[in-house]
Amino acid sequence: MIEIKSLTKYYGETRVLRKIDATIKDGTIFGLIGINGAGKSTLLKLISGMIRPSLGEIIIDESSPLFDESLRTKIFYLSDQPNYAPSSTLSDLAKLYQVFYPFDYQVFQEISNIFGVSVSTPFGNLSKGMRRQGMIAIAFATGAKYLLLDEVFDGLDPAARLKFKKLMIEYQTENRIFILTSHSLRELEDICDSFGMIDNGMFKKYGDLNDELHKIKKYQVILKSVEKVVLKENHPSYYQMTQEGRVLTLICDQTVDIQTYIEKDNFLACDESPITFEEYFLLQQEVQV
Amino acid sequence: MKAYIYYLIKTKWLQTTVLAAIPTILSMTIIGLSTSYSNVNPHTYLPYPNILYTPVILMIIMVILLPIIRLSALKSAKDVDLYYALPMTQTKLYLSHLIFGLIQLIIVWTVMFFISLLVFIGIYPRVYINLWFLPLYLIGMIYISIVYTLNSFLFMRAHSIIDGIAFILLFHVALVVVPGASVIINYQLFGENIPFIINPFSGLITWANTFIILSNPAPYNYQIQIIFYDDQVRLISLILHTVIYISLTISSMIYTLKKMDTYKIENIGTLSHSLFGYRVMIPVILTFSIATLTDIGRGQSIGVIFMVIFTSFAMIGFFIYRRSVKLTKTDILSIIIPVILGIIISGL
Repeated sequence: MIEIKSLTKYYGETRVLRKIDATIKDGTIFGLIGINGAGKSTLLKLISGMIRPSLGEIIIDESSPLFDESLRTKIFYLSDQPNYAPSSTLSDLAKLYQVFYPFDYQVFQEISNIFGVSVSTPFGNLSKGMRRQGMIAIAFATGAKYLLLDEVFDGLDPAARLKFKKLMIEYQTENRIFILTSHSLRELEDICDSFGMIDNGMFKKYGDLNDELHKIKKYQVILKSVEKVVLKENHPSYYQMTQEGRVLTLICDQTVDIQTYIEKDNFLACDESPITFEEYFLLQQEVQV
Repeated sequence: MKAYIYYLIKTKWLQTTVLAAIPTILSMTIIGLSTSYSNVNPHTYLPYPNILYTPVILMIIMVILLPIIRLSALKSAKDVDLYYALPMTQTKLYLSHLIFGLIQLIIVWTVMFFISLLVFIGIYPRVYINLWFLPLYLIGMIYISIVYTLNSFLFMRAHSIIDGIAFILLFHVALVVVPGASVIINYQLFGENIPFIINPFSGLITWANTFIILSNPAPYNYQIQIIFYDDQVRLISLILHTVIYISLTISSMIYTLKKMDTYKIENIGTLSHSLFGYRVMIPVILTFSIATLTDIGRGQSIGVIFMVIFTSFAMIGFFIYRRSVKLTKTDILSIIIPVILGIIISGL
């Protein structure tokens, strides 16, 4: 279990994270989202023990990754911008990790084969996506209980994304925690069971992904006329409403019925659907869905 | 940590081989081709084997080069996420790289020294007392370890590779410029002119000189007289110098180890404000380099030209420090005050 307690991080005078509190239970695939520069990578580095918090602490399995070296062998951090000597190979890099982790070379080979990445090709000759796939193979082969994967879908083609998601599900066990950051929210939605949205250095939203998505409902209404719809007096609040011609899209709380907004006589049909993770994110960012 | 050092030894063997081979080939070539040895012993008319300074001088380059090669990974903004994410403390990570660098250095020194010596003995068989070359090798090992550790300390004070290289170079330039200007002080302290006594390499060269003198098969009393009576001041200052540098090395090592685990790796790639770098070294170098104009260009236009050149270099140094041509008030004062001080000392 990962416990984050009042975590604050300054880079010089700039406060990147402020008073973050969170608990991530074992067996979780946690999606960490936020706009660029929100502090996602910083949070992953803090969890990995690479950097020190300015205030607060991170407790993993009742110990601190800053001081407990044996704990750190259970954590693997995959950077969003891995940099390796162009002449070295994936196999060379695997040898480095073999020094520190209970590295399973067979798993490394198997996953590399799944992705179709050659372990003996120099990094200089591999594409960005292939390097990423190779690093994913290394990450799983380390046997780390805590996999912190930064911008993990970056550079992966649709086939590789699918293979990776299958791997995640296959390798997920009751005591493992995966923390992923990505801007590909559709991919995260498929595999994550909980999430945290960092905004302005804090968790704006945090919790079970399904529960959170089901709190909000999206109505697509076919109106009878193209004239701008007039909502009922004293209607409940809503998150967003847009009208294009006769199609009205209204996003509101799950508990609210469409007829509390519009007179039944004003529309022909109404379709109700859950919102996607991407739409949820945009709503929180107050961007038009 | 041990396992990581073994890993470095195993994976960097080619690098170690190349690092040993290049200076060794150079040293062998210089010794093999050299025909005239100056400085003849007046008793035996045998020249002193000064050519054996060759591996020592090549090693001076290596002790500057190796900390940069070995520790660059720890100061590279691109490599931060790879090395510091490894499950070991920052102190152990640094120590592993430091120790491996030292191992490489010892390998380079040993290979280069003994192969050079074999070439030398091949050219002059049974001429010199070869036994005295063994302490030359050992003292060389001590001194290269000292300078290597000091250079590593300086490199680790920086937040980037470029700054690390600059810190090492500035330190060594200061150790040439400061004593160059303090000839008078030395004379007052020691009764004679030993300007480079504060330079770490001066100890290495002086020790090497001692054993090179002893290797000459002159009457033993004559050698003892040269070393222990004719140049007592040099000998005492040499011993003092060695003790001071060993203490400095140990202190710098303890300081680095104490600081390493709390070092903020997010600073890597940012400006280096350490007092062991630009902020202090540039003003010191500028002050003393202008002060050296006492002998070169007092009252002459050449002195002014040199002063402008030195000041320009100082400004370039601050541009590099700030990564900008915009200097702060402190930077400008750090140039103006040394210039004034230097002028006062030099009496231009």
